[in-house]
Amino acid sequence: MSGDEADLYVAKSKKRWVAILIILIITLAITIYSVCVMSFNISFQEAWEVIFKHLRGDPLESYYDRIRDYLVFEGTLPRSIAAGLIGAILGISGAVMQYCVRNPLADPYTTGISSAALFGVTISLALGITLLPLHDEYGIVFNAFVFSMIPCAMMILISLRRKTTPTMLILIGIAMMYIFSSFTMVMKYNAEPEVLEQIIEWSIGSVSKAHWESIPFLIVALAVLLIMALFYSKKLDVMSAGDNLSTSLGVDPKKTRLICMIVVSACTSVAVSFSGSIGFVGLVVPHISRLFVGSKGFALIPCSAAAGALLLVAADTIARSFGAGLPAGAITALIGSPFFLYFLIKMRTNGWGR
Amino acid sequence: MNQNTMKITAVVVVIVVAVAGIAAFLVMNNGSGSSVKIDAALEVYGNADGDYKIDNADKDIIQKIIDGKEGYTLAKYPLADTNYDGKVTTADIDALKLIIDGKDTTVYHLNHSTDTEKYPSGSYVVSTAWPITKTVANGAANALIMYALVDIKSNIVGINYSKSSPPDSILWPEFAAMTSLGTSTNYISEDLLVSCLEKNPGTTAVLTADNKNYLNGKEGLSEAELEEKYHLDVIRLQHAAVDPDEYCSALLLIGFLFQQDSEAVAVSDWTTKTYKDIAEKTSKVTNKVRAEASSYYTYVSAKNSDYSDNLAQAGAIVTTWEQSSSAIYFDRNNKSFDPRVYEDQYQGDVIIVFRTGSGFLKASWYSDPGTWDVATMQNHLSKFAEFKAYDNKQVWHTSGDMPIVARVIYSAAILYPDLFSMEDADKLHQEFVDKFLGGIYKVSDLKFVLSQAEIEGMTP
Amino acid sequence: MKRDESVDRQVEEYLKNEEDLAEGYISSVRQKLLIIVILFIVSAFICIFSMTVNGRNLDFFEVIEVIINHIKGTTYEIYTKEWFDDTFIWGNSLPRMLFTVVAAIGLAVAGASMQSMMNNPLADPYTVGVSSGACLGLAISIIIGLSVNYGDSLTIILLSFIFALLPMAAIVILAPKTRSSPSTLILAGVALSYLFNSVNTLILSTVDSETLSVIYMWQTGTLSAASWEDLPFVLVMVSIGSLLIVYLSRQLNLLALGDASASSLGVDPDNLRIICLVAIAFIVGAIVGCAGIIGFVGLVTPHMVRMVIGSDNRFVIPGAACIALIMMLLADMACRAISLYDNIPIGAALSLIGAPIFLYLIIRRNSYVW
Repeated sequence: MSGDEADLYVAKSKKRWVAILIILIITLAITIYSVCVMSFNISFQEAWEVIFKHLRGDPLESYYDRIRDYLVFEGTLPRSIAAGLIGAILGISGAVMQYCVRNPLADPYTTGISSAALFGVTISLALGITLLPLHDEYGIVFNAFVFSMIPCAMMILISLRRKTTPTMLILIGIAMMYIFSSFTMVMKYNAEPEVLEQIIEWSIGSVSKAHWESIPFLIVALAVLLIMALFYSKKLDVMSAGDNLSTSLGVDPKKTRLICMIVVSACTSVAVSFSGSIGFVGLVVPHISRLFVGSKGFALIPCSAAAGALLLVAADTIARSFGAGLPAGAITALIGSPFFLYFLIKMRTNGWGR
Repeated sequence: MNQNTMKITAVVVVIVVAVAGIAAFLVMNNGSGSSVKIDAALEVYGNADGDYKIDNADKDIIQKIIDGKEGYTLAKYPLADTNYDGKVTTADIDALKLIIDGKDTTVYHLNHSTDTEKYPSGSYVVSTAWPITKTVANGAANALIMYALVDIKSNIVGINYSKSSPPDSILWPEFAAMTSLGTSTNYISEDLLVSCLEKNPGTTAVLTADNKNYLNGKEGLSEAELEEKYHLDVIRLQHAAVDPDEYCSALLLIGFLFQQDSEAVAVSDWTTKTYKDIAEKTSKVTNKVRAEASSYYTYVSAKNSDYSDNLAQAGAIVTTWEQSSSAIYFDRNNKSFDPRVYEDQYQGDVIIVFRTGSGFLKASWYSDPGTWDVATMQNHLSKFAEFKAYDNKQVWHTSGDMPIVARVIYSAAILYPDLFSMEDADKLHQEFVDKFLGGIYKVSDLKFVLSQAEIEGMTP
Repeated sequence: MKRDESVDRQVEEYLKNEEDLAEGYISSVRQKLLIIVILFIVSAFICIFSMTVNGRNLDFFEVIEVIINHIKGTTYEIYTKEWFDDTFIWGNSLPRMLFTVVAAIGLAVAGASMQSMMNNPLADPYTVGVSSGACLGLAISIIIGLSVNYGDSLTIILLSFIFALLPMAAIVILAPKTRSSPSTLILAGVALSYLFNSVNTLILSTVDSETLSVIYMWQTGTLSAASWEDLPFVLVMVSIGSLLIVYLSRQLNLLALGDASASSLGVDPDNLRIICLVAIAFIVGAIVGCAGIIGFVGLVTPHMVRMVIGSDNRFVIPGAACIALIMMLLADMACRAISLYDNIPIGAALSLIGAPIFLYLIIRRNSYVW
């Protein structure tokens, strides 16, 4: 490589990291601002005042103080943080899944976990069955998590017995999705309107149920996912050349795929258990990131994380600003699609980066 | 005194006693007639004077309109057009005669509907083969009560209800034994209806509610299909109405259609009198009680919902704001949580929660209180903890399955304990059950109102 | 001399192999045709058989008799058993069966062609957003209060059909601007599908729970709204779309080779995709408007057929149509047989019956290169 080419290469890499940094900063800014966005009228300074007051441990006197403290410290603050974490998890999961199955239509739910999680939620809402007799919401969350691991287990079982191509894995995921969603459909159909509303709200995906208790789980999931993804990023790059070529280059595609998908499923299950299945983020964020930083895994994965966080925090903030709890899952597509379409047209590259 | 005076005195005494006796006799005979207090109208064409029954007084009015007497026009007495052909002629008198004589004929009456786009006035005219002997009916709790009140249970050959709220097996064992003709109170499945019609020849009608989503055709049969394909008359009743005149109107109509007029009149009379009594007593109160209603543990009812109407009829000031959809969520985790619900101006001093047995007690309100699920009851009660009323121990739970008039009576007893005691309320309730429901339950054996202290004091 | 003999022998063997290969190809084609013919016959039988499973409890030949009598114009006295039979079979069972057939064929054809067109096994008829548009149309028409009664449902179906065409129109407009690989088109379609879905969701979250139940019920797949009023419209739309796709099936085969190879063989891939999209939009728009979203059939039946017959679209498309038809009728029968009262949604029954079969086929078939 000549000096010029080397400089160009370094400059391009630097540009990538600058892009990622910018996205992170924007995300942080929105998160900080979003604390004051809710259906109750409160200004930016007031919101942060309330937070500092709480951290200092000041006592709360009037009814308004109590309400504001609750809404901000127990409401919007953990919610914004959770939105960022969940968005990042979904972004990375989507990117890894797309590498693993070599399909631009793959997203974190291709393994069928969202249907399984929804099934777990539905049986607790409609039939009142929870696997552990936990108090109210925790029972639901636990249900969702346990059931969402079943498709994962299924895939492991089948992979151990037979030679599995990526296509096969996708199709197994689809089959699992249909099996679970059929049971869910029957229960939904015979449910009362109030219960149905709750189930649908859950299936659309909303960050509103995230509290401080969920944050540690999400942080752990994100950390595990990020580390694993970066660790495997080189191997995933190689795998996009095809199974045979990968083997000849020293990467075991079957093993890599299996491990990646298991970790992705587990971490996504954690996210889905708390928020429901928020669509679009996992599918489109990797594509958008590709348009900015190219297809190299080592850059793509952090970028997907950052962009996913940005998208979800922004969507959640917008959803909240309209009052009466619109679900974030609906807004993500609303703001993301126009952006995505615009970039697809403008950049005149194909979305797959080849 | 001499004999003459004694004779005259005797005669006078006899005359006085006789007159008194005759007067008493007349008063007693007309008692049920002249002191009947029903403001509601029987909404059937032929009931020219718009009162609660069809009788010869209507014939007189129609005759006067035909004769062209001053002040008697069709516009003034729209119900005079018995055969609904647009004009008042002797044909209307003949049709009216058939009705009064109880002969088989077609009658025209109003169906109520909540579909204000299709029917801006809230009702529309339909024809029905009369009298009705057999019918398929809606199985909602309020509807079943209405059928029992006018005593037409034996005329019903099939009902449709939803699996989650089937007919109470203690109150209506005969209905609970029937398989539903549809998956909910909205829909009637064609398959099942056809089998039912085959087994019960002579079924001519379908009773349903005024709700516009009922029999709308997406799942199961629609109103038009029932009428055109299967030649059944669809009758829409507002059996969940809280306003006494609306409710009595529905009672009178269904009583008329099944020739159970006397039962319907008796219930309407009692109901109207009771509501009027409550209204009169509470109108004298200067500081009306501020209250809110609820039917679930995550929301309070909107101002124009049926449950809030219950409280308004019982003399309360309903403190919630106007809202189009029916629930105002106070549960913070719900997406529709509106913090205004905790503002002082919108909080009531008393909260009355109307719950069905299956949702709140996991049992029937008519079953032994020992079988109730106390853990659920206390859990649901605790969700109201942020309200002022909870701090003052004024969150009351009561049965949403009772007859509507009973709900209003108990609400009045809760809101104005100085004016109406619980014992009086129970007595009135028992009177209602004995007179019109055949005494199917004893109020003293059951508990229909639970105060906050009572629920908190229960052992799970 | 010896060498000549051995060469002769070698040439003979070679020629024989060629013949074998040729024979193998033909007989394989014959096999495929045979399978398809058998499927047709079974489908026809199941069509009539499905009308025997209901509250009337007629047997196979009685059903045929009732239908023939009705066509001849016999009338019966009202409220007699024959009258009930006639009214029910002709007024409910028959349109329902016909609608199921049309919907199954439409969805299978749309799914098979979508998968070929996008070269992606994950594609189904709803991928490009046509169904989201239709659902949006349904939600809007119910909210603005279009009458949903007997005889008026055509307005709702038309409105949702028009809305279904919106995403398709958007893609047709966008396509020349992107000027790149099929993946872009797919992604654009997916983005549009999400967009319409989210608008739909937003609308759903603003209505009260009762209207929500009604809308949700319209959007979940159900066959019970089928009536003689709606059938002609759906039939026409599905026929147009399916015939178009069948006509193009050979060309669709070539898309599997990749865009460059396909165009060198005389197929314009972009044009082909757009025409297919239009056809699919017609099919799916009509079906979703009338029956809501019935999943599974469009995605899985083409795969099932491919696992047995191979990837030739000329056979996969009719084969998938037959299998879809059989499965949907069986699922509908199962729903009715289990409980006439319970109303199990058709999508649930389909998935429950089909997914295990599908799973089995996936596991069994080692060599499925789709």
